[in-house]
Amino acid sequence: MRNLNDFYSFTNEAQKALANFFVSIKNEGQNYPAEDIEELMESLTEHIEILICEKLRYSGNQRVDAQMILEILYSLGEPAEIVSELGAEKSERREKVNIKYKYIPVQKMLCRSSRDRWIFGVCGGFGEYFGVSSLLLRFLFVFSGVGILFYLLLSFLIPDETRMESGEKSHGADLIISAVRVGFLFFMSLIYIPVIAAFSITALMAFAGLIGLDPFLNIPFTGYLIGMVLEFTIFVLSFSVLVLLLNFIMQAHFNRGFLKIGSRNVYAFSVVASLAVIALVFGNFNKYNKYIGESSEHFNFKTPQHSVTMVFDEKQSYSPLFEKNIEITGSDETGSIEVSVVKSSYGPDEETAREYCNDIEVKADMDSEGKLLFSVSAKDISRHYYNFPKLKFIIKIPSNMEFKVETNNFENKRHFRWISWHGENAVSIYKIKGTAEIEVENMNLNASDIDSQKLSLNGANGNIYARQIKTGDLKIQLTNGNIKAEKLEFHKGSMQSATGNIKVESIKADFLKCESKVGNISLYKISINNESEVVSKVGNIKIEYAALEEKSSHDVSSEVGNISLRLSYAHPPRVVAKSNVGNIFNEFEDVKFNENSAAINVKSKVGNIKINKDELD
Amino acid sequence: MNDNENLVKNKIKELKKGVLELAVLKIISDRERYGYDIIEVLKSVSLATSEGTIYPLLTRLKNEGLILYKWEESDKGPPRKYYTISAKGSELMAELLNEWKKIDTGLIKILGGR
Repeated sequence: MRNLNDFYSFTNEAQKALANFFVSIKNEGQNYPAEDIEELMESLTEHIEILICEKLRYSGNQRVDAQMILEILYSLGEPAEIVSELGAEKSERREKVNIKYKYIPVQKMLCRSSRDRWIFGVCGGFGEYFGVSSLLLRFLFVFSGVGILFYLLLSFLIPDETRMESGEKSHGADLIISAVRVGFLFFMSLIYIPVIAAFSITALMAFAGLIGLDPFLNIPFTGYLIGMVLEFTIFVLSFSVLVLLLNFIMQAHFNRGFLKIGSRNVYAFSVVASLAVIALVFGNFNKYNKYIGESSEHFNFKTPQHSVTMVFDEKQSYSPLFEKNIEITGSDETGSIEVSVVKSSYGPDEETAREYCNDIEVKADMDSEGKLLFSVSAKDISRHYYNFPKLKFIIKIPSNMEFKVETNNFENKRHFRWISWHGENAVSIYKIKGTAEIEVENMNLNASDIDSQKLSLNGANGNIYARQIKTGDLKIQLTNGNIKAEKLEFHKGSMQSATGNIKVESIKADFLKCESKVGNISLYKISINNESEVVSKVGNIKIEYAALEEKSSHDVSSEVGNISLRLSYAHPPRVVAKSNVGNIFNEFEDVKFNENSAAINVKSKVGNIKINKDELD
Repeated sequence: MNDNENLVKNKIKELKKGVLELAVLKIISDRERYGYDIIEVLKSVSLATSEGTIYPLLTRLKNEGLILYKWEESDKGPPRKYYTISAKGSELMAELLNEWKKIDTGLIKILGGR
């Protein structure tokens, strides 16, 4: 029998399909005279060859592909039917050998298609290899962005079909083929391994959450991974729906879609599409948004037309893994005022974190004098036992604008941090309860009516004015500016100024430390229970002691400046004054004191020392 | 495809099958023809069933000594098997044609006029 392979160039699949057909004929014809079967096959070969010649001439192709062969075989009919037409009596009943002649490709080769080719035939090759629509692959390659790069890479890696099947499979060709296979496996693993890993992690975490463990473990990476996987899944699902829709439209209007109806593609896509529909209908993807990186909220308000209250409500998604910024910006009619607040927080879990944000209310309002009043209040912050939200406020205030901040109900042991800069005028804080830490740059800071456990005021290039402060721990620090304070009451406190003056009226404290490098220090009406230390390098020191507890000790020292003290005569302290260069004037020199008297140690290197009795006391 | 459609299809096939042998004999009695040629003719009068089933029919007719064949080179494509009718075949064909005319007139009476 004539072997058509010797005369025509067949693709692997075509060759396989034809061979399978003749095998089926032989199988069916087992009980017929061998010469009849031989003759039949001869005739069929002739028939097929005629059609091949015709089809090749008609299509202009050089090669016989599977499509062509299958068309021909389809027109011939089932092998069983053909053979049974021989009509010779079967010698005996036999078990029917059930072999379908539908071709079973055994060794498929991934190569760039020579038939289904737009550019390099990569998509066509993949389509033939995996039995998917090449048009669909083209869409995927084009729309996935990086796909175009992959396409070029693959066009280099994957050999051309015509060259591969030209017959001469040299050693070099084998090498290329195996290289391509390795490359392809590597490429697939690049895509699949992370995706599978991510899916597994997600599943594990979902399971952990189901049995009540903390599924997030506070690892940002896993959260990010979940986000990525979900995004990817949503993309694939929605893309599948789109493709099916498009296919449906094309099928309906042009009677031609990219998916062959009845093929595996359609079933696969139907499954995917129904999953997508189910997912889109029943799945609440919004709740996963929080895993996707950092998120932020933006509010905008205008004054003075409106007074605006911004409340961070429950519905806002909140990330337990990532910092969440809530930005509030506002401006007045002229656009000269600009306020922005960044509220950020971390939480141990989603619910707590959301509660944090929930309990804090931020308000911007105009007061009767036309000043912008900005208030932050906590509704019920006391129920959070740890990890109070870290609040960061950035306020941009133009010059000639006065700004007030009011905070309410920040209970004990809570942390309130305020950072503000870029303004030339004052920031005022009122009514802070609990711990407050305030930082100011390039502007004045006014603090009053504060009743807190811990208060920290930090300033650079501006004055600090503090009034009516009652706190456990006080820290006032200034690099470039004056400190002025009134009515301070604290357990332990320190006031430091690098270049400015420090002036305080009325201090009631257990421990006090006051330090100035260049400026003067003036302290009036101070009552100290345990210890105090006042140090100045260049500036003068002036202190009026109101009351010193028995057995308390006090140091006053200066390098260059003069020291002037006024002491109460009623409770005379033990005073020791020393000056290396300057003069000493001490009214207490002759005053008798007892064992329990407070001790004052006064030292000066260069300056004079003057200690006066307070006659009024 | 449901059973009813299958049934109809099978019946049509059976109907054609009866006259197929006569048709083939007649086609090759006019002039010698190769297999594909015969199929083309049958197709043109919509007598063809599955194309593949014509070849076993030809083999059967040849085995019964009704037709003969010879190989002939073709200027375009492969060598072809040309079939001709044998003397025995011609006789049979004449008989069958005679019979067919009777069937034809009979059928017309049953089925109604042309």
